[in-house]
Amino acid sequence: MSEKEKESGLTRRDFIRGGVRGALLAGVGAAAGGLLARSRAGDTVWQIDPEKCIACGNCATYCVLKPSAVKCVHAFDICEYCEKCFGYFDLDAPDVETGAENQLCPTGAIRRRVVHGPQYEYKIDEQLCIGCGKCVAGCGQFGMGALFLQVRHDLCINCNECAIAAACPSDAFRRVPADQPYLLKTKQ
Amino acid sequence: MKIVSVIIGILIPASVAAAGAVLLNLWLRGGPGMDVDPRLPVVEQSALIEHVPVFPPVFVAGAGKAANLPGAWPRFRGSNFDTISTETVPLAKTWDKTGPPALWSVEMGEGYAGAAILGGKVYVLDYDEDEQADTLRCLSLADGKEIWRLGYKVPLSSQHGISRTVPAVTEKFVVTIGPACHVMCADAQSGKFLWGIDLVHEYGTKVPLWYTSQCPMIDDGKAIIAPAGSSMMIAVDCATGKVLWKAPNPHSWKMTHSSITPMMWGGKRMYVYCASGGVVGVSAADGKILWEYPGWRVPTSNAPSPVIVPDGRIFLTGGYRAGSMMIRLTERDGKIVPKKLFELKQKVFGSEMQTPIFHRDHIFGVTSKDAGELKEQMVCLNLQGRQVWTSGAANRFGPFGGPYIIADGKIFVTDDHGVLTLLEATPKGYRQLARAKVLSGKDSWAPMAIAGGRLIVRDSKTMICLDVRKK
Repeated sequence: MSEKEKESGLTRRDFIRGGVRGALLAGVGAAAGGLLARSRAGDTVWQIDPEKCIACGNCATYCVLKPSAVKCVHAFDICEYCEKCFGYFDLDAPDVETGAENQLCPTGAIRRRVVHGPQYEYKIDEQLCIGCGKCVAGCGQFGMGALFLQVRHDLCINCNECAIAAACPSDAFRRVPADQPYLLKTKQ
Repeated sequence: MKIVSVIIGILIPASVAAAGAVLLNLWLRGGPGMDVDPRLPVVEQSALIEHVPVFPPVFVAGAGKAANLPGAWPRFRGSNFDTISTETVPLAKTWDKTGPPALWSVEMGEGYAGAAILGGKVYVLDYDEDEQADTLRCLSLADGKEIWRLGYKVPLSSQHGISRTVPAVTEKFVVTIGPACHVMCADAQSGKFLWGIDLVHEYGTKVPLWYTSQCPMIDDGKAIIAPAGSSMMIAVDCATGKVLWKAPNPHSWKMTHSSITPMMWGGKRMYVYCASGGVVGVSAADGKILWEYPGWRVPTSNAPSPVIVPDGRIFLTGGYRAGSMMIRLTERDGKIVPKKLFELKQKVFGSEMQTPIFHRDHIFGVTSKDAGELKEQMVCLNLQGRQVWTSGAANRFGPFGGPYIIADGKIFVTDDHGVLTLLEATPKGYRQLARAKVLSGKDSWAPMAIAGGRLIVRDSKTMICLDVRKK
């Protein structure tokens, strides 16, 4: 024991022991904090704000899942059931019929059927939808904006750092409460 | 050594080729690696409306009386087909937040049908949703009370609304075109039915997407209609219903939402119409095709009408990325030849629904919602197609673009939500005078009408009459 240790009453061994104890406590605290933070993050999920989404196509390519967990959804109360739907048909489509050359969707994920007279119902086949947003852009630009993209939570694995959110050019991705996981469009 | 060279030179390549052939055969026999659902045209229920005779219509008298008020707006785009009032009634330069006072309000069937005004009466081709009938309603300009109505049954469902045309009216006649292309002529005073034509049945017209928006015109006692079916255009004697001439349709161009606009050039009176495949000029005298211009066509839907500009120029505009174009009529070897002067991209100017106004050597209009940064703004262009001013990001009149009209040197313009804005009709700049929300419904797209300082505007369900006179 040195003279200095004698004066302070604290041996080098005590100092090291205390330091290790402190480090352990800090580690446990950090781990607990991390777990707590993780548990809080679990209460929220990723979602797309349809008012901000610009249908850039990143959702189809940046998601870690293939195909993407982002799918097109359809607000029926906004839709006008047009015979020439700008989400279904290419703007320059030579004909208003179901031939592939007329359709906008690259995977044929939108189905249509006659409802009444010249009115058509459009439905999304989520097995085929890759979340490219081509239909969303068409409907938003020339139609009523009834088609929009949403993260489907039966598919999404809720990454801490969502690859699509990082790539989203319009900051449309945000975390929302897990008990209210969708940001749906409604008729104004 | 010889055996090795035979193995390397012949057996190995032959074995590889044989294996390749076997694999190719297996691959071709195996079909696609996953289930493929071919996207082929399928037979869908025809969107064409089944032919059912609709005439004669049913007449019902009302309690209203024609107002003793001056002023006229006798058809789509007014007396001179330019959307400018010819009257000199001084109008208010501003309003308070509540806007100009509403004199009356009338409930309408869902749609965008606009009003024509003559002799203290307001004419509108409404759609009676209860009766499922196109219904020509004659209302009093004073209080909106119905004087008479004349309706024919034609079951239709909403396609962005149902009604969408403006009648043409003279002292004697009123002519209408219904959403499913039924033309009707009646006595403008009594409402007595005179004659009717089903363009789909008689001329093979294909009803445009979202029903027709073509507004009829009456010229020298003749109804001028563009069936764009077996005939491009027809002239019908309003008094008798006799077809006086038929213009041919050699390219089978189809009907659009555009309306016929008259034009004088080279001493000839002609009717200009934007059909699906191009623009056509038809002689008013005999229905001969004087010229065609296939260089202007709008994909999906051509709604705006041609804007006649001095010196044989015609300004054409559209939405759906069509932009705009100015053409000029020239003469070569005794024939009229239209030539393109300039073309504008959508982001410079393109109007999806409304027809721009030529005023004081400039063109005023509202851009469509696919015009990028300039979307839904009012734009003033010079006749070289350059932007003189734009209304700015704070002043948009969309999303689809409400109507606009000029009266007493002022522009009245609405957005889709019934907000009415008043500004100076000047190429010197965007000078806003007043703004107020005057309608509470959606889709205030119907063309406006003004007569004697009474402005008629509507949304999808309600038509109102505003007193915009100077106090």
